[in-house]
Amino acid sequence: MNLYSALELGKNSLLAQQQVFQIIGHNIANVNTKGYTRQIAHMSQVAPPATGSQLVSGRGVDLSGIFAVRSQFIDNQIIERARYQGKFSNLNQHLSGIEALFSETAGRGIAGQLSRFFSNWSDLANNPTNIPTRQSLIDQSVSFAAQVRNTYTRLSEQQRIQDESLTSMVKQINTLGTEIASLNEKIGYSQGIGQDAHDLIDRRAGKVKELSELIGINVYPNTANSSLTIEIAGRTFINAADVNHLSLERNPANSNYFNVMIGQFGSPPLDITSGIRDGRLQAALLIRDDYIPEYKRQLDNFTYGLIRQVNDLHSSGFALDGTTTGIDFFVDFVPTTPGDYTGVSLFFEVNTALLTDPTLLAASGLVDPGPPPVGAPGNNSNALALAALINADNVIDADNDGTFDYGSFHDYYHSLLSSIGNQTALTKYEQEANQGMLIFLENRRDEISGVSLDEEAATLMQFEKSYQAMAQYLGLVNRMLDVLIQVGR
Amino acid sequence: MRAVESVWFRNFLNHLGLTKERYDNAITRTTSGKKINKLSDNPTEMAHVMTLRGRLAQIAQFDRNINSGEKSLAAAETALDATVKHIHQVASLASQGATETNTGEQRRIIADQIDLIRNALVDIANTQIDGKYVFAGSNTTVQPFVIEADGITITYRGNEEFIETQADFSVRVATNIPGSQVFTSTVTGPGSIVAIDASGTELTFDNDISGLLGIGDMIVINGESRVISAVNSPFSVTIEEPFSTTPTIPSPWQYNSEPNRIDIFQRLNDLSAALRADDTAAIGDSVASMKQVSNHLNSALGHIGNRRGHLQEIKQLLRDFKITLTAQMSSMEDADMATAISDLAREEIGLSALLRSGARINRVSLMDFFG
Repeated sequence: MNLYSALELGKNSLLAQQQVFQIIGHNIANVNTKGYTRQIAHMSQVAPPATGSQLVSGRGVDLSGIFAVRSQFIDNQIIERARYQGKFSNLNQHLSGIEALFSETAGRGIAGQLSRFFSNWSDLANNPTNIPTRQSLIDQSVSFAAQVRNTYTRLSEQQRIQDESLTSMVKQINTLGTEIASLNEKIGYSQGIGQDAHDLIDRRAGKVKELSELIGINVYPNTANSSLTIEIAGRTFINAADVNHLSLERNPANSNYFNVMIGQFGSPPLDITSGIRDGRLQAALLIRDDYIPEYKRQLDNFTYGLIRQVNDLHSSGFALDGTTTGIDFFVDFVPTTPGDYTGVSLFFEVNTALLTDPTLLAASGLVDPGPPPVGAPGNNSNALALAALINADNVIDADNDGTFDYGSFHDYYHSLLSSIGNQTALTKYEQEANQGMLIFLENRRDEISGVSLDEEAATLMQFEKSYQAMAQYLGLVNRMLDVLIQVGR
Repeated sequence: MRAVESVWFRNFLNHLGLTKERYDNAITRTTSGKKINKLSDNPTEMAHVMTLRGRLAQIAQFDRNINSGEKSLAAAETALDATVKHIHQVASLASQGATETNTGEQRRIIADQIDLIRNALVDIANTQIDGKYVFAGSNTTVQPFVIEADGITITYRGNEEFIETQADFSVRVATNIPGSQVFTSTVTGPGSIVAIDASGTELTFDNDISGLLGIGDMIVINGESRVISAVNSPFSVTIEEPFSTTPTIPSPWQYNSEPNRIDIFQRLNDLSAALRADDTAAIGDSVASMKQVSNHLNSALGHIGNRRGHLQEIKQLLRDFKITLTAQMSSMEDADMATAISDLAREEIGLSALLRSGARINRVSLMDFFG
């Protein structure tokens, strides 16, 4: 070995140290980058040339590779957990909004109105000839009916909001799909020319996690070209650099709401609405197609029961004049098929005839069968019967078979409230549990892959020292060369 | 384990979020005074609380019903009390009139007094409360007792119905007495009598009376009453004996299908007629008759008293029930203030400690020591 090769060794070693500095800089710069995986330099000694001689020393150090400290296992778990997190956080967010619609604080909800409605009939029974009592019953019934209609309308609005949210979610999913596919391609290319693609892989992992939050996916790594194949609802969404974009199509069979479709590489798109599992998108579909329709159905059953029972009694009674009979209290609703009360809550209104003439309230029952049958102004038996509906059993057709075999009104409405409460509480619990799990996983990931500034500082010091030493070494070699040159003079 | 800054920050933010939520809940509990504020806070208890709330609302309504019922009963009671006093006066007037030493003139003066009392009783029987006639059955908008054109007969326009109030979940209590059961059950008949046969006992009507009259019922004309002995056709009946003066045809008529009831007005009319006719035997009889009347009134008062007592009892029971339900509801729904406030204080301490430690993250780093 000669001094020149010692100079060469020094120079190469300095270069290697510099590259390490660059990697440390990269790490420090990305300390706050989400999903960044810390990189470490792998140094290795340079072996002596194979000359056959036994007394040959090594030739210094070289940067043999840059490694990303990654745990595929935890990364996969994060992607898996993200789909539940997306689903439950979306569910929780919207269900607590729906829950607020049914709030009963200070008796201002539908249940409170229901109590007051029957209470007013009782007041009327105490004072059947009193016009202000009649008027206040009608006024309160109007506001009660309006509250039921409003609640129903709000539920429909919520459905529409969920439906509209699909548009932006599908757009986001398609954008992410395109990005992931293009990253697939870039990563494949980089690795094809022997370059490390750690930063691209980090970015892709981040995008896949985002995608998983939006919609449940299955991810299959492809070892040949380092690409990820991604499936949605069992259909290929991304294959290497190709994406089958999602699209939306209105479904006339489901209130003209959107169906989610997936492209089929040229063939017509396929409906995967019912195949989608988890993610924010499934949460929107669940609220739109399962939760709210069920709440609406129960509210409709409740409303129809009320219309039926109140009207049947009211029309059998007699108005203040003692002769007028057969008047409906609420605008009547005739189901087209028995047991189907869909949308009745939207038409829940007090009979307009009563609004202008409170004397038409039928507080009186039959007093003399006649003919003609008559009531009496002071008779209150019908008002008493209507007031007693509050505790009546078998007033609601809960299973939509056309027979009224569930009751009372309060029991039925309370069971609706408790199912809303239970579902909200459950999704809140699930959301918190998943959130906690996700944080735990991300912490584990960062413990392995995250950048520690102290650690980087320590490495920096370490390499600073070796860089200084190497520089000293080069100076020494230089002085030795000088000595030789002096000798030769 | 590697300790990484991002883990510290993530944990800090996560715990900050959770603590703030608990802090928020603690504030809501203390400010609202309720431990259940949303359906999802405790769905099972919430449903229970709602049921209790509904029950309590019903109890409040029952309380109103009872008060309203008591008001009607009290009005009836006051009226009947006054009636009893008048009847006592009539009884003493009757025994005065029965004295043989009285002259016809004096008896007529007494008879005039009786007529005045009768008119006062008609006013009492027409007592109103909140615009409703108390003794009209359920026909509360029509004046129940009317003096007919003959100036003697008093007929009842109300009906026989009891008006009930819902006093409890399953108990209904009548809050009135139909006037026909207290004062008179004589009612104006439809149309008029158009023919009376030579014997004076067969009466012919211009209306179908088959649904109204039966054997044993009484026909009343000009204050005189006769028992029906046969119904001949839908338009004709036979009475046991003819009227003392044959009515002029066509004649309005009244009837009483409850002849066994005490008819106060009829008795007062009979007394007045006896006084004017100096019929001392009949006057003497009416002293005993007035005794019956006051017994009759006292038994009606007894009924009313019983019902008021019943309502009071129910009211007391409901009050106890209300206390039980309120306590139950409170234990489920209301926040225990001591606990809520100490929870709030604890969360506050936790939050400030958390913020303090959050602000210290990364105060010291190896990076600080580079020269």
